[in-house]
Amino acid sequence: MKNPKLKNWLILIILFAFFIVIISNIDWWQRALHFLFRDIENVIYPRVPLIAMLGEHLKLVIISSGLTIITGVPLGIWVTRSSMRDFLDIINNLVSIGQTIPPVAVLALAVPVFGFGLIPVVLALFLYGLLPVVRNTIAGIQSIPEFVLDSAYGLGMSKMQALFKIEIPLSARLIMTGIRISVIINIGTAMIGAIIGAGGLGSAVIAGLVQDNVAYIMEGVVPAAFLAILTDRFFSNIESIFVYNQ
Amino acid sequence: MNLKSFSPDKIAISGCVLGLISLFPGWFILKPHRLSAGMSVNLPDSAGLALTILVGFLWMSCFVLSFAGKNDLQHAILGITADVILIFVFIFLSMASNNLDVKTHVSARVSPGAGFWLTMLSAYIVIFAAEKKLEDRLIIKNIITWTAPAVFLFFLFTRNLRNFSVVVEFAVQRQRFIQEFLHHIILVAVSVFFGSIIGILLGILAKRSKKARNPVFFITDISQTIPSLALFGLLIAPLSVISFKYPFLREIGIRGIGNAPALIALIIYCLLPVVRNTYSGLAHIDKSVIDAGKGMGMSKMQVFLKIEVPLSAPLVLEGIRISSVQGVGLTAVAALIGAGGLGWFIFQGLGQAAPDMILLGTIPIIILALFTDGVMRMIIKFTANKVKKQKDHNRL
Repeated sequence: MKNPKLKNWLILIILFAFFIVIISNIDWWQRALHFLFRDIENVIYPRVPLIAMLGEHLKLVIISSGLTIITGVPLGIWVTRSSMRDFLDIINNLVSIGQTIPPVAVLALAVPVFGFGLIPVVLALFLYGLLPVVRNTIAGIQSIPEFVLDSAYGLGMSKMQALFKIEIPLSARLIMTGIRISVIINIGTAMIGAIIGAGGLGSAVIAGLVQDNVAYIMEGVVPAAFLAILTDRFFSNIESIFVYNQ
Repeated sequence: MNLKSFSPDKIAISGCVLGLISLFPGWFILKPHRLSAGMSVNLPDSAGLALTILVGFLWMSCFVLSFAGKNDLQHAILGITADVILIFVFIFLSMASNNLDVKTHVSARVSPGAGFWLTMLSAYIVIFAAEKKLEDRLIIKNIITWTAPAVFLFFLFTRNLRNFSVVVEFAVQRQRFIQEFLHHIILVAVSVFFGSIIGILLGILAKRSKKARNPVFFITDISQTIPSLALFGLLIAPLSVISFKYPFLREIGIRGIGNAPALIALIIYCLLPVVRNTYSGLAHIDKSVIDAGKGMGMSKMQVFLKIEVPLSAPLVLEGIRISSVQGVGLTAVAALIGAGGLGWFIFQGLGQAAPDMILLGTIPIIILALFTDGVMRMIIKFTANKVKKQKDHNRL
């Protein structure tokens, strides 16, 4: 295996297949959890099947992260345009203050404002997820040396051409890093969203904590950890495609 | 007209426009008790038409100043006017809270509404813009920054905000709050302390031995990726099994839930930023500096203590800053597995659908996070300056 990138993708595919196989065989879970926790009678969370919880979790993360990406990247690009230069500092300032606020706090604050259920969680995840994406988009575009842009304009490129042919490709790697951080935070925070009634893998964990059932906790926790690691690897692999900066 | 001397401040103008708009939505929500939905009240109904118009007038003067402000005096007046607006906002809050009919409802309270929060945001924007123009006038900048928080604290301690929802909630649970607040700080401090020590050691190890580098980064990387609740949960099972096998562990407080899994998880989360920054701090030291040290006859230990430690200190501290700010937030989640801390109020509040209790947990956590961030940044700046001075001194 000479190509390290190919190797990384292969590892990811194998892990993913492994994940799917494990997730779809609830019998294996039953046996494994029974073996580990002999004194617990019910080892499988009865309310919602594992597959459905995973589906809810993915739905939550995909909707909120999707919204984050389609608004965050353009927003980041927009504030770096020369007409918006005045606002760049205050947006940077707001974003860095925002990132200091813990995601749990944002999730908790969403309840008094928007109430309980799926929508407040999606909104909280979306808003908090914006911060790393906007921040990294700005950082990526600002990391491009002035002379590179000057020479692009010197070649007769219009502002639009410079944006799409120079600025976006050159900052793609940093933007992807921002997206990865944002999605990983969302996967984690979505677990806590179960308390607010958004469903997902967190519901088994919360039920396990309330009923003092370690097996339920495991059923929610292991797939969530797996999901986060898989997602992280996936985005890291995409990041390594964009090597212009290195 | 000479356009050069006429430079409207776009940021301040948008702040002022937002401020004027924020006069219209509901300002306060009055509630007879913790769980009721409450009644929204507009500013004119709450503070009277005259005072509302006065605030509108103040926003208009900000607007004019941000259009025409040219010298430092005018920028300072802009900032101070925004401060005055904030002070009015606090006065309105205390008026609304004093006017509540507390006699009929013991736990009656007033919560801030959309208009209140929007005005705070607008004032922040205007103050930010004014301070940016004031560049190096540190004294006046500090006055503008700290006036409003000081006035707010004054109102708080003179019991003028005693019917403000979060304060009501605090008064009800004062004992518990102090206990959980201290517990939160202790959890963060202990985990950051041990996490930093382990992290620094692992970072040095990663720098020294090529063999160890990949495994160290791999493990710390993965542990950072795992969701907080999942890591807490993953530790519950093994810890409860171990503590059942060895009862003496239970006696010293190591159990499946509670402080033990929380601290372990928090320490693990601490590692990555510290390890990464220690590694890059050491890796970025110029080789020639170390060679010069060796050439002067320094032993390996001396090179480490006198060159590597001080030169990498700012980056290491930056790693500890990230860890501790992150730790303040993660500790909130630890309340879910019975470790206590300010998160307790959040999850109790969520369970009882009591927004004020959620705020009682959330607001201190946010303040704590911002405070930790600020203090650590100051320490980093101080160390970086010292290192720089040392460097200049050596050069001479």
